[in-house]
Parts: sequence; C-alpha cells; structure tokens
Amino acid sequence: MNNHEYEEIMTKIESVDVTKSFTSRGNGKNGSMGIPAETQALGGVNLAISTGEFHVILGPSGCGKSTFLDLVAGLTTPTSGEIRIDGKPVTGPGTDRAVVFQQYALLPWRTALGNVEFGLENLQPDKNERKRIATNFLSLVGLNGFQDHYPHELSGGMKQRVAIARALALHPDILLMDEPFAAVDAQTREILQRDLLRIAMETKKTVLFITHSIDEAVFLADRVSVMTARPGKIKQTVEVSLTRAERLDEDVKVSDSYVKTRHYLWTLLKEEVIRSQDCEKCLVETCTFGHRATAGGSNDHAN
Amino acid sequence: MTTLTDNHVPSRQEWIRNGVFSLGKFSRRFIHVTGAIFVFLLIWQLAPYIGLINPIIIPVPTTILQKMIQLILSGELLVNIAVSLSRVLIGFFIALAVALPLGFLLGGWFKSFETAVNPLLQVLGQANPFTLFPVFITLLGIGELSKISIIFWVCQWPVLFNTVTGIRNVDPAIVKMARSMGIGKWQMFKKVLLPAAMPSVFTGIRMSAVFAFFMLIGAEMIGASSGLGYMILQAQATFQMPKMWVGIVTVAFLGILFNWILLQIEKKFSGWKEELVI
Repeated sequence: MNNHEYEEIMTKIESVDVTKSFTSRGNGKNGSMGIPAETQALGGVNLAISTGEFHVILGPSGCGKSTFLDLVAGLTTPTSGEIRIDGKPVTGPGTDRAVVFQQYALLPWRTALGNVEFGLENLQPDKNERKRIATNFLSLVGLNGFQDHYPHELSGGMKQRVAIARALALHPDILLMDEPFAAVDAQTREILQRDLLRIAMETKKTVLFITHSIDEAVFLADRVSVMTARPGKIKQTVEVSLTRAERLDEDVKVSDSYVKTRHYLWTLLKEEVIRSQDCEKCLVETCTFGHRATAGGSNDHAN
Repeated sequence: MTTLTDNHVPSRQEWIRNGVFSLGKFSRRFIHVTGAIFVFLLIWQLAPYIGLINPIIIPVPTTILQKMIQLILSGELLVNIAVSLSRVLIGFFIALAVALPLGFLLGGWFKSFETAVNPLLQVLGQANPFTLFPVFITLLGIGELSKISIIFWVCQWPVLFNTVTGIRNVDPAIVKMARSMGIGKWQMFKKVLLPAAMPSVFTGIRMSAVFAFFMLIGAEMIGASSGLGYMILQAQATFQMPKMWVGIVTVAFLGILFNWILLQIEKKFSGWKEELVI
C-alpha cells in the first residue's frame, strides 16, 4: 500500500550541492551573532522534493535551515551549487513560491484583509476581485469576520493565519514555511498544525517546512530531512508512514508508527543537537528534548 | 448595598457610543480638558485686585482681548500674522521638500554614505541657529531671504534625522516578506518603507514646526520691520504692554493651531497605531 498521497512523479524542488557562506554575520537569527568573519552555514545540501509533498527539514538551532529556505525562496543566492524548481535554476524571488515567516511579517498599518491583498496587488489589478479572493482565503484559514482587524488586534495564532492566507492567495505551487508556529503557544500550535495539514491537502501545495520540533515534523511531514549541525547538510531523509487522514485522528500521537518515527528522528537529531550546543539556546532545547524523548535524557544532562 | 444585577463590562466601542459623544458627557469632558485653562485665566484676571501682579506690566486677559479685537479691526494684527505665517510656511515647506527626499535617500539607498556624513550633519544640526543668523544676514541681506533661509535651516534637521531613523528602523521581517513576493524597488518604497517610516517622519515634522516658530520670532526680533516678532519687540520698546501681550498670545495660538493641523494629518496616516494604555 502506498502511504503517500503526493504523486511521486515529478521533482518540484531540487537542491544540488548547495553551499552558503556568510562573510560578516549570519542571517541574524538562531544565535548567529558573534560568529566571526567567514561562516559556512550550509555545506553541500542535496535534496529532492516531489510535487505535492509535505517536506519537513528538521535540525538543531543554527544549523542553516532558514538559510536553506531563503535560498529556495530566492532571497539569497548560494555560494556554490544550484537550487532548481521544475528543473529551472532559481535566480530570485517569484510568485510560484510564497513564504510564511516565523515573525508573521504583517504590515501593521493594514487590516487583515489589506495584508492578504498586499501580495495580490501586482497579480490582480481588479480591486473588487482582489477583495473577493482575499476574503475567500481569510475564511479558508478560519478568519471570517476579522477582515477589518489590524494586526495588533489579533492574537499570535491569528496573525500567522493571516500570513498563511496571504501566502496562499498568491496561488503559489510551493509554500515555504520558516518555523511558522515557533512563536505561538502550544495549544494554538496544535490547532494551526491541523489546519495547515487540512489546507495543504485541500490546495495540493508542495510544502517545505522548517522546524526544530520533532513532534511537529512527524505530525506534518510526508518525509523528514534531518539536517546536521553547522555547516548544514542533509543527514538522512525519513519517510513518515502515516496517511493524512490518520494524522487528523486524535490518537495519532500514541500510534505505533508515530512513536517509532519520533524516536528514530530523535536518535538522528540527538548528536547534531549536542554538536551545535555551543550556543546556549541549543543547550536548552537539548534538555527539553532529553526529557521528552525516551532514552538519551541522562547523557544530555551530562553535557 | 448595591447588588450587581448586570455585570456586563462595556467595551471600548460602547464607551464611545454611550460616553464621549453623548451631549451631557461631552460638556463634562469639555470642562475636564479646558478647566485648567479657565482657572488660570480667572486667577490672572483677579490677580491685580489682590496685588499679585501689576496690570501696567501684565495686563489682564480682558484688556488683552480688547486690544486684540482693536488690532484685528485696524488690520495691523492680520497683516503681521500674514507676514509671519508666510515666512514660517515657506521655510517649513522648503525644508520638507528638501529633507524628506534626502532622508529617504540617505536612510534607504545610500546607507554607507549616510554613515559617513552623519557626524557632519549632527554637528550642523546641533549648531545654535541664533548664532548662525548673523551669518545668514551677512550672506543674504536683511530681507525676506535670510529669514526664510534660517527657518528652512532649523526645520530641515528634525525632518532629516527622523526620516533617516524611520527608514532604518523598518522591521526587516517586513522587508524580507515583501522581497519574497518579488516586489519592485518603487513598490517597496511606496508600500513598505514609506508607511513604515511614517510615524517617525511625522515626529520630525512636528518638531520642526515648533522650531519654525521659535526661529521665526527670533529672526523677526533680530532683524525685521514687520511680523509678529517685530510687533512684540516694537510694542515693548514703546511701552504698549497690551499690544505686546496680543503678540505673545497670537504666536502661542498659531503654534497650537499649526501643531493641531499636523496632528490631524498624522492621524490620517497612522490611525492604525495601537493606542497606548498604561
């Protein structure tokens, strides 16, 4: 039985020997400040993501996950190697890809509707049509009746819903998500994850999702790529043998394949987390993971 | 004892609907915000009777009002207002026309150049403009040009510095988001940088409006033969105290009015800003 509902026919995103070095400082997040002159963020990433796949990149903080996503988005260019989308090299940003950022990145002077319309303004010249599309996408993410709210009147989860609606409204083939739920509280995160899964299923997007949470990875991904500590490489790609229908079942997190995959990913990730523990943030995460994962807790504390 | 039959807490909208805009509450609010001024005027008016001030030097409000009406009717006050306002507005708007684009360029596109010239600009901006006014007179003569130029000079700095700051402090996440949508340079400026910098830009504009009036009166007192500053100094020299006070009050009113107009414009642009509740 084929557990994957995506079609394994076409490669949508392809990364060939991609490296990225920064001369002055990192990309400003994941504790990259204070790192001296030349830093290699990515050390040869090879990856192929199929059309319609939900692909999660899992890695310790500061391993270059976000750097990789920026490259796919076309916001920066690789030092060497190539990213291809539908076989064509990425040269810059494009509306075939839409990005959802951890910090929401909403325009505070625009309403929820105005924010969703923002990206559409270059694609859809007709004002009424634009408004109709934006309203539709707001209701798709469950924000009916919040059209006229400004970002500061919305909760963190709602803000991220607006950002997701804004990304979807562009009708991109690919949704790039950079730790989108890291800043919202745990309960909201679970709901957002479920909704995202439903939306990804309904809209048949190819999703590239960055996270440092194993649970999030197992719950969402068709395949998980574990990234090594800096300089980031793909350590291993793991298939998650859960159908999307199974995932939306309440008991999925105690199901056999969920627990096994989760544990396997933890063993893969553990050494990378330890390796990248020179930043304090990672150390904290190591402990958190240690408590929650089955084995391995004790020797994490020893470090 | 009161019993809580309805523990409904009114929302802000209800407050506005039932509170501020109903007539009875409105007049209460009016008294609330103007009460201090009325009490001050009342004390001023009564002060000579209890020997607190000498009405020859500091005339009571009613005397000043009388004189003001008289000067309005004779046309003298209005002419001086017109002269002063035209100096302020011309200097102010030239400053906006120069400093706004310059600020956007320095803050957005020529960052390293801005870093290089910033200390120089700070020094120039910090130089006391009153000390520079004689230089302006020497270079540009005693006519309108030197006065408008010195007003332009003081107005440009707050606008320039605040515009640069505004552009520099735009949330990088927003810029990154806009870039990820493949937005062009002009659109980036129009739809992202400009609105994001607006609050800071307006702070600069309102600061320079205050400076403009400071400098106006200074310039008119140092070297002018018309305008409100000249009128005040002239009245003082000829010991026409009520007339002097008319000038002082008029300048204060014009400053308040100017600032109010700017605030209304600002509200239009940044009405989205979160209200601060402490």
